[in-house]
Amino acid sequence: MLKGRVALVSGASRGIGRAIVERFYSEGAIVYAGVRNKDIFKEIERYDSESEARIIPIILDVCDKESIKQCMMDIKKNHGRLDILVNNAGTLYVERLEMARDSSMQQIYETNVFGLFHVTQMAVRLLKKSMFASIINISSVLWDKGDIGQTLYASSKAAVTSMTKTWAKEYVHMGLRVNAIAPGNTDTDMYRRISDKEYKEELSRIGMGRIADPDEIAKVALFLASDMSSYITGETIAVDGGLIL
Amino acid sequence: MNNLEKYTEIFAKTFDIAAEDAKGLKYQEIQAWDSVGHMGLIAEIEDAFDIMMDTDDIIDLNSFEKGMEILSEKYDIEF
Repeated sequence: MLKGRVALVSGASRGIGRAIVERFYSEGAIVYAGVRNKDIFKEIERYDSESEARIIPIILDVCDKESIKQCMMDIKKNHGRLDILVNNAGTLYVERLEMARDSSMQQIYETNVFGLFHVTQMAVRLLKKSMFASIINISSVLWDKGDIGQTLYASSKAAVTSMTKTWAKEYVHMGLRVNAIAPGNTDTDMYRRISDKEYKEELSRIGMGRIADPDEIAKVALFLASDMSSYITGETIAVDGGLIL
Repeated sequence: MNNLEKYTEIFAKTFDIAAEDAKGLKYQEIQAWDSVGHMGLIAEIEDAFDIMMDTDDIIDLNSFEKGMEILSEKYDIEF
């Protein structure tokens, strides 16, 4: 479904980002896996001589404009365009309003909002050169529901959803589609930080009675990246197993 | 073609003007150089000189001459 397409996924070292990288690779894409640490390059990189699909690890710190620029320059030099951008890098702090630190707010917004903004601002210049351009922002099911202790994270994801809708309007005339995925509870390192008690409580609120496998999010990303969703833009798709908040 | 000729031709082509009219041109002075035209201009400059400009420089580039100044000072392009 993505043969020959050039994709960039931020936050690709593990979790949802890694699953998206693997899924796109299995569908024939040339995937730049944006990570902050060179140590995992060897673990990530792949090449399939039959499909010519590749996973190319690349340094991408969404909080560092120079890193973003270098990443885009490399893609520009190698391909002259970008077909798919997945803004996945994100961070999470669970702090109630009166206990929320300024530093937590700064870190969450720097990564989830400003980082995503800066990556897209630079990447859009390469996306405009593509015939199949698609931006996929990873939001959260909390963006419009909120939850206890989620002031910072939920509000940052509301910003992501808002930017998604705005950019969809700004670029629709160029054929550039912009959509978001709002995952619910997903089996990632970020999620595994919660206690057993919290985990049981969370499960009781999910209609399907289980959390998502990261690949279940990746499959929706594949749909939004491919021509299967060619008439969809400005949407946020919840992938939450019937979550009741 | 030297860099000045290349740069001038980008203005002429992007805004559909004669090359001799590019010198002294300022942002929003003609209808074609609006915000959309500006991004088209930037795309052409980036492709021609194989660079990616910083957002502040994109915003600051508000005239033909200012563009030359930015490109030579920050992107090592000699005119």
